[in-house]
Formats: sequence, C-alpha cells, structure tokens
Amino acid sequence: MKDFANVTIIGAGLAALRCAERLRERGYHKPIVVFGDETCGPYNRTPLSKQLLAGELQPEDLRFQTATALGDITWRLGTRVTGLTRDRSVTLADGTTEKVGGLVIATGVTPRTMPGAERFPDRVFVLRTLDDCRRLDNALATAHSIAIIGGGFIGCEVATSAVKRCVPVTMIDVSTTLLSHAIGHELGQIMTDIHREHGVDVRTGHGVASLEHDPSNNQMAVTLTDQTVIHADIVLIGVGTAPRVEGLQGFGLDLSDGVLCGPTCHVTGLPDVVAAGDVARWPNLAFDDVPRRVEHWINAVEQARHAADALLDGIEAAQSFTPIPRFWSEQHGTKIQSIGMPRLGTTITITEGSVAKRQLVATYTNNVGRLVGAVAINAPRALIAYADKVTALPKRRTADRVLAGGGARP
Amino acid sequence: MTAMPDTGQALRVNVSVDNNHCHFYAICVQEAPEVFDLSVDGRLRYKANPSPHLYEKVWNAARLCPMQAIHLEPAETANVAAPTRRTQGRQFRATRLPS
Repeated sequence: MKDFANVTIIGAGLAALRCAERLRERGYHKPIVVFGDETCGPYNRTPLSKQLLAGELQPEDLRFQTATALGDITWRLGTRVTGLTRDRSVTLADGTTEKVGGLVIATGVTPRTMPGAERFPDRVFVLRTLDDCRRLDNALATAHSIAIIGGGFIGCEVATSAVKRCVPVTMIDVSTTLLSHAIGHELGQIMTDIHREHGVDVRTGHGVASLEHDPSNNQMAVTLTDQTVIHADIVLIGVGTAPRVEGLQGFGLDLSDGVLCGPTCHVTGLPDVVAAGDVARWPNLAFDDVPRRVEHWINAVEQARHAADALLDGIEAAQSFTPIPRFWSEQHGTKIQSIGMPRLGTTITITEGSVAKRQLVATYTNNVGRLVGAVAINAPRALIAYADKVTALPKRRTADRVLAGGGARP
Repeated sequence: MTAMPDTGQALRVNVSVDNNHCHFYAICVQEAPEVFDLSVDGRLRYKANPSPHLYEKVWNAARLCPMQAIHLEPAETANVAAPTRRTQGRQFRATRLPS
C-alpha cells in the first residue's frame, strides 16, 4: 500500500466523503485534507430538486452516515483551489500553497447557464447546491408561474415539485421529447405525456432565443426560436452541466471535458493522482475504451471508493473501474430507473409491460446486438434481473493494453 | 456514525429501514439480495440482524440507497432504539425478515 504523507481531496461533495471513508477503511491513517468551495460539508444533493423543494425533507435530512470514523480529516470549507503546481502543491485563492501527497480530484460540475441570465438574479435560477435550492424555494413561495428551460432530470424533477406546490409550469426543450438524452425518444414520450397529464405545459422542438424581463407585466419573457414568447414569474435553467476544472490548470492535465483518467481512475500521466465523480472522464472497459464522464449519484459513490483503492494500490496494481452505471428519478409519482449505458444503444425493445400500462422494462442494444442498458418505468423489481444481463458483457481488453495501445483497436 | 476497524473484518450490524423515506427503488436488493427483498406486492422485506459476513454488502446497500433510508448500527448498541422517524400516520410497508 502506498504511504502518502497526506491525501488531499479537491472537492467536498459526496465523492470526497466516500473516498475519505474508503481510505480509512483501507487502513490509511495519515492526515486527509479536503478543500471545498461551499461553506458546508458533504450533503445529499439528489433530494434538492425533489423532496426539499416539495417540503418533504429538511436540510438536516441531507447528512450522510459513514461506515467508519474519518479520523484526522481537515475540512477546508469555503476554500477555493486555484491551481496545481508541478512540485505537488495546491494554490489557494489567498495565494498560499500547500504540499500534496496523494491527490484526489472530485470537483464535480457546475450548472450551465445562458447568456444574460446573470442580469436577473432574483428571477432566473439554476439548481446544484443547497444555496441554489434555498433561492429557488423562496422564489417558488411567491411565484405564480415558472418556466423551465431544459427537459432533463433537473428540469423534470423541479417541474414535479412545482406542480406539488401548485405553481403552474411551462417546460421548454429543444428536443422532440423530454429526457430524450437519457432514455431515448420512445420512453421520453411517455414521460412527456405524464408531465402534460399533470398540467405541465410542455413545449418541445424549439430552443430559447432570448431571455428578457418584460416591464409591461413584470414577468420574465422567454422567446423561443420560433418566436413564441413564454411569460413566467421565474425561470429555472436546467440545460446540463460543465465539469469544474478551472482550478486544475498548470499540472499539464487533459481538461478538455472533465479530468481525463485511465481505466483505473488514475489521472493520465500522474501516478499519485486520481479523480472521481462527475468530473472524472475515464474508459469503462465493461463497455468500450472511450473515456466518458458519468454524472450519476451512484457512480460518485462507487468511483470514489474505487479511486481510493487505486490511489493506495498504485497505478501498477490498481484494478480497472468497470461499473454498471445506475440512476433513478421520480416524476409525478412515476419511477424511472436505469442500469448500464442506454445511450450507447441503437435499438430499443420493450421486453416487459407496456407503454399503455405505464409500467415497463425497455432494453437497449448496440449495433452488434449487445445489451448495453435497460430502463424501467414503475418496475423496480423487474429491473433487478437485468443487472446481471448487462454485467455479463465481455470485458474485451485489459487496462494494460488500453494504456499501452493508446486506444487503438487490436 | 459507527467506528469500524480496517476493511476485511466481519462485523455485525443491525439494519433498520425508514419506511417513510423508502421509495422502493430496490438498489439495496441489487447490492445485498441476501438481506433485502422486494416482494411482488411491493413490500421491502429485510433481515434486521444479518450475518457478519454480509457486512460489506449491507454497507454498500446503505451507501447506495437513493433515499438514504437504510440505517446501520453496530449490533452491540442497536437494540436500544431503531432510528426510524415520523412513523405515525403512514402505512408500515417495510417488513423485517427473521435472520
């Protein structure tokens, strides 16, 4: 086991906590230092768009339990890392530097916004942090309408919460259905219908051309590319995220879409640096050798634990990280659950249940007929059996061959 | 929070599921089918005192629970009080299995 003088974790979210927990489980007892921008420690973000906005949970319900005491751990909260140096130091916002032993990058992502949105801080919102949630919650308390730009998970879940609060919702998505990016158009259409049945005014097929305040009625005016204008008291922007790499310059890392890692979660070219969670882009050899980021809550937990193991084992001994990704969502009482990587599929087949019953399992196969993912709507029990089927994918290549071959096919 | 020595050591934990928080996603069944079971009628059944050799699996189930509804206590102290909350007024749908 590698014996670092300390382990520094950049980022103080779920991945940071689970990485620290795993380091302690493995018997690493030296200091752990965690740097986080937010002023609070790790908390559960997934209820922010759902139970917190709906008033079913409170912020104190967002704490995590850990299997082991975290020991000598220093939480440097509200402390931004602004750079890394070749002599293995982190630079902080106040200009000071600190020496790093083992390094874990778990900076996560930040919500994308739209040009000009910053002009309306009391009207236009994003949702990622507890502070974001508090602002949106306060605005929803007095708003008579909300326009949601982006029909992904955040948008659909906030729509659900707003409906529960009796705030009328207009949802805008450039695609032909909601959630098409995650589950495809066929299942996306089911969810679009469900949102409409619950009173959400869903507008698909056009993007947003401009976002302005209309003084004539003191509302926001969202103009679509077909010149339709949607008025609403407040606006939520849920158009995806960008990996947080702004403090990671200067180390020679590939930061083109998150932090590029090898199959073991080691950051490419650096033996004592690993990355985990939403920011990490790595090839999951259970599927293929294309490095991707996986922005799922479950992945943050599993990858953080793997990254801790990989850091302590060293790059030569570390295993490849080959999870079967999983996510879930709940909208208007309808559960959506996924295993594998449905987006890699080219053919979708409903194997159990039916669209009419709104209870089904759909499988996704790729162009050579391999099962790459499965999505269940209101069928958590039926989905369990599919985990093994996706897991049974042959692992074609070893980490060594990918590292040596630079991605060339054998 | 519970203290635990290095990994690889089997420890006994007591399991309780907060049935107000559980939304039956069955991730726990994927992680530890020996301990958790989602029945055909949609009830979650679980062993409250699983065998120590299932320690790692039970913790994976608790860590990965979407609702963070699984609470684990070291077995020595867990019979004092099950940490379920707000149980009044809701139908009890999580059922313990005999261990």
